[in-house]
Amino acid sequence: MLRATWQRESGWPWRSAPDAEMGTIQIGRTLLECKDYECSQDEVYVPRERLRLWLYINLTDACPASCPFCVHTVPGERGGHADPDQLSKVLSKTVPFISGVSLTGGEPMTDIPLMEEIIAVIREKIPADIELDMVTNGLHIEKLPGLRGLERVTTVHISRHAAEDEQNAALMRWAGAPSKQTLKQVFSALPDPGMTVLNCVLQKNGVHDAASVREYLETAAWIGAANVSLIGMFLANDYCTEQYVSPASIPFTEDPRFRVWNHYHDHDYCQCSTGSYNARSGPVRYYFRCPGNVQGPAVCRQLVYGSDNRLRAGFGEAEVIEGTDD
Amino acid sequence: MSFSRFIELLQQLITMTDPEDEDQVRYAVGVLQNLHELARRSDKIDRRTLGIIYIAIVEFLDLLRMKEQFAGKPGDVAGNLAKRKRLAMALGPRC
Repeated sequence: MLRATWQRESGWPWRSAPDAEMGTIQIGRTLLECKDYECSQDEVYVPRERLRLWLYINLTDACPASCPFCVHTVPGERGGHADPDQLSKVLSKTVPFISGVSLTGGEPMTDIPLMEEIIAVIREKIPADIELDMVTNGLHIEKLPGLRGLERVTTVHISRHAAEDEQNAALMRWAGAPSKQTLKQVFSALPDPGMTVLNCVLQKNGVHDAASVREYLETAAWIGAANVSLIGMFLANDYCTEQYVSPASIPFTEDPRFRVWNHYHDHDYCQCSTGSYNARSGPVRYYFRCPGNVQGPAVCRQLVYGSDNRLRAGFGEAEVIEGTDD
Repeated sequence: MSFSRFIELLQQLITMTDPEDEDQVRYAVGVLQNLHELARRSDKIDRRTLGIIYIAIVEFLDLLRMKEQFAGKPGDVAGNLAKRKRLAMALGPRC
């Protein structure tokens, strides 16, 4: 009803910023306000066909790395693990509202059997056309090609924040971070190397300008990574505030080796862009995601299933379904 | 035409086109250009999908250079679906 009224009054299907209205979805007994328009390239916001949210599943809080820019509160100090049965019950109620799923942590590869169980639950509960990503720091990366259920995974994101191994290990404060030689061997053993994404958080101590982005992309292409995600930090703590570099500040268009395919934004709240880079070892696709660090409307932007087996309306937000037996 | 239908068509064009064959590339881009014009004139497409067809026209050669990431394989239903999702994420907004 709300949507029908809005469509009639806003001259659907087109409307312009900033008269954004929100739609409402109901999960269990909880009503969630969420954005009901697609992000835009040209200030014209098109309604979404369906109101859906991305679901992050934190399999565990454990992680061997101690990245100072990690948005997770205290890596390694809490002991929870996602329970496949509990997750299955929650997914039964939330599937119609899910646009994609990310398996994350902590470090999800700390418990490979659990990871495989969770993928099996997702395979059973979530339609195959819903994207499933896994996000890892590279722990046990050599076991990735043999991971049970890998064919259900759309993309594998591996954290790597510098071109060179030593600098990457220093930034992650983890001597066990996989080397580029290891990554190269693992990627070449995957049935579909196109699923690989290297995640690079931009920071003044690391990749921070056009030259260092180029060096990083050259390394990524040499490794055989098909994609690189350049990430702007959330200003989660003092380190992030001091080290913040916006991917949007990198002058991609000034170098002919870069091609910028698109550039979307959601008002000033966040923006993203995709393009390609013509490296010596071959082309590599890159994209950036960049929160605007501007206070947006108080809407639900994602669902988070925590290692405490509770579903929340965002990181650190209120619980959506109280108790999984509901 | 819906976004998902367009992505299916685009994957088929990428699959069929040999990047080294200029005629094939021209035919495929021609298909996309004609589709864009037909969609625009018929008004039977949403603005987002229309914009993404335009991006596909401009970047088709780049997409072909990454053909292995996007092209389908006969019988590989799950793999082909994953590649369409990848294509959709490359051309559309990320979330």
